[in-house]
Amino acid sequence: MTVHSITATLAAAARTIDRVDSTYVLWAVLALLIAIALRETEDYVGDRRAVLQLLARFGERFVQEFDRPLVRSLPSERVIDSRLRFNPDRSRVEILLAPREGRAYPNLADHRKNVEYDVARVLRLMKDPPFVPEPMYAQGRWVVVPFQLKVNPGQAGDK
Amino acid sequence: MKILLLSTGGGGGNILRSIKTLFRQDLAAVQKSDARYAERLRRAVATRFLDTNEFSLADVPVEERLLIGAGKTRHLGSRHNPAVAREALEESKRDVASVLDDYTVVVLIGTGGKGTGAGTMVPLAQMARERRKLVIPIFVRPSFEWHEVDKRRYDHALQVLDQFDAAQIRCIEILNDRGYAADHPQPQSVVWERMNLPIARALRGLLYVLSDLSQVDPSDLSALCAGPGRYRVGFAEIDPAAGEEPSDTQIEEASRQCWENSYYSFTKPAGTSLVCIQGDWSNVVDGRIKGRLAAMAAGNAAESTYVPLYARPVHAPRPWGVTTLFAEYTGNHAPLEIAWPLDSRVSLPTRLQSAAPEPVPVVAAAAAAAEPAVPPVPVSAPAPPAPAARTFITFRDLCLGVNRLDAGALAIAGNGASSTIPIDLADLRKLLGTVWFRTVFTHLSQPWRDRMLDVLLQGGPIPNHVVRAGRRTARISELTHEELSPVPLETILPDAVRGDVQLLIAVGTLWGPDAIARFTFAEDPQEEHSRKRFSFAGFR
Repeated sequence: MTVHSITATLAAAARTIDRVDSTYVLWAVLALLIAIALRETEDYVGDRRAVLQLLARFGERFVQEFDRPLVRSLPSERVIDSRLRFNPDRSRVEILLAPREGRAYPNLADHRKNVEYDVARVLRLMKDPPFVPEPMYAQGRWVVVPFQLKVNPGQAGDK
Repeated sequence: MKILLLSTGGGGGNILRSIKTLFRQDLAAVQKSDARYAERLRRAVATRFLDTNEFSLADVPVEERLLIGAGKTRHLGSRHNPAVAREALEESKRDVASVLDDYTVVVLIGTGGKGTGAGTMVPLAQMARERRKLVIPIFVRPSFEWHEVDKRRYDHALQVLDQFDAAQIRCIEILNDRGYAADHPQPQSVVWERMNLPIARALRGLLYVLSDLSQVDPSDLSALCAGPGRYRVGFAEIDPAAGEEPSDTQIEEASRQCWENSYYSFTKPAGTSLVCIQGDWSNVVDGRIKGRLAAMAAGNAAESTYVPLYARPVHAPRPWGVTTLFAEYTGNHAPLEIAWPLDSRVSLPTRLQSAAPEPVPVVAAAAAAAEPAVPPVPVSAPAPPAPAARTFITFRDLCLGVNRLDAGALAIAGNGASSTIPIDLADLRKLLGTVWFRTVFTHLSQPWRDRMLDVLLQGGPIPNHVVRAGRRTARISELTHEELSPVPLETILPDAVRGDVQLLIAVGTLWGPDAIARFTFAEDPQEEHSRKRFSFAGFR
């Protein structure tokens, strides 16, 4: 191919591009970007929902097992107050426990050892769930027991 | 009937000490109103303190100590380790068994806080069950919220309770947590007394029921104790003014006090339960008490599971009141096999009607004499009871009188058949089904026995049921007394068949095997019906 013929081909292509309305091109690019963003958002929301469900299920089961052996008048009676605080982005759940009126347990002021024992007991009962306990702390009347979801190395992409 | 109060471990020992003191106080009160009654109560109950630690029994009379595991623990304790305590019990199993063998009822007391109580409660209850004793375990769930134990030991106590449930042994579970009220603080001794008083008082009621099994069938008591679940003991004193009936308020308060005992774990509806009412008041009051208790037990349930067994001591000495032993309904369970003694009952005498001319000291029984806290008290002598001028309207009344060793009843029983007391066939069949009647039978003269047998024989033919005896199937008319005896134990029989078989067994036992041959047998209508159905089945 000669230099002349290459020049002629390029000139023809430029003429064709000139004939296409640039607006369409921009719309197509935008649509493509929106599709990619939607897909990413959907993945993100799905993952977040799954993590949230995992954290919630773990938290509820933990509270149930923690509460179960305590003395009560009726089997259905709850003797501790509880709340769950989620941070799905960091795969973290904080379980807040407090004694109901007239009760003394759980509290960290004079039952720290018992609460620590109970946390270990419940985790044993739950057959080693994929959560790592972190140091607990008191917040007002609440005992806060934080847990971090263990990250599966395979899923994280490590080699 | 003898009752053993057996504590295990330090915590159980403390409770037994408290119950013993309270029971002694009760005895002292009874002693004032009826010395013989008090004496009988004292003789019927024995206490033993089982432990691995010799030092914790320093204040216990030597004959009441039951030290276990000399090799395993050197009597220095179980080192807060239930497993060590279990091994210590295993080591001394023979000694413990020999103690258990002397009693029919074993009230076992222990706590779940440390080693010995937690480790031995269930094995001890199982040992007593294997020996066919009526076992009532009293187990204390300690409080970790109030720092009696740490949470780990508390959870261990829960495991002991699970073991009771798994072994199908019903128990009394005391919740120490309920003894603490932040808004109404009280000394521990006061709380303990409030927890233990119902047990001590209930013992009196229980003793009465167990010593006079004519009021409550042993089979009903066996059913009450069968299955897993919890008991709740209640006692309420009712002290009406002299010559007056208890007021409605007193009845309401007593019933409520019996029903609501928050120290005991009791989360299911009440099932078969025992109510013992003691007091010289009218049957109207009894009816009100029973009604209130039944209403509370039934609650709002559409279908009540509450089945009360009532016992009513005649002329019980003060303090009067109501004793209850509620049992959780946990389904229908086969009655327990209990070795009810037929001849070694402690019959409680009726209240002395007249004092002897001169006071004579009563010498306490050997076991009681060793206890310094309740010395023998000079009381009116148990004068030979004069035959009471009392009539017995029915044959059952007479038998109840004989069972109480009522002099009038004994005179009629030994007298012969000239009495005009009628013998009702249905009553007689019921009496023959009870254990206590066998002892009464020994007091009945030959003419009485002949009359009873005549009533049974004239009652019409017995359906000739087909039953399974060993490996063969036979009609009951073809079986000897020896072959019949194991049938109800080895086979599940319909109620009607069981009743007839048991009647024949009772007749064979009391009148001799030959008496069975005197009965006439008729074709079993039920069996005839089923045979016809079978034969027509091919034409349908």
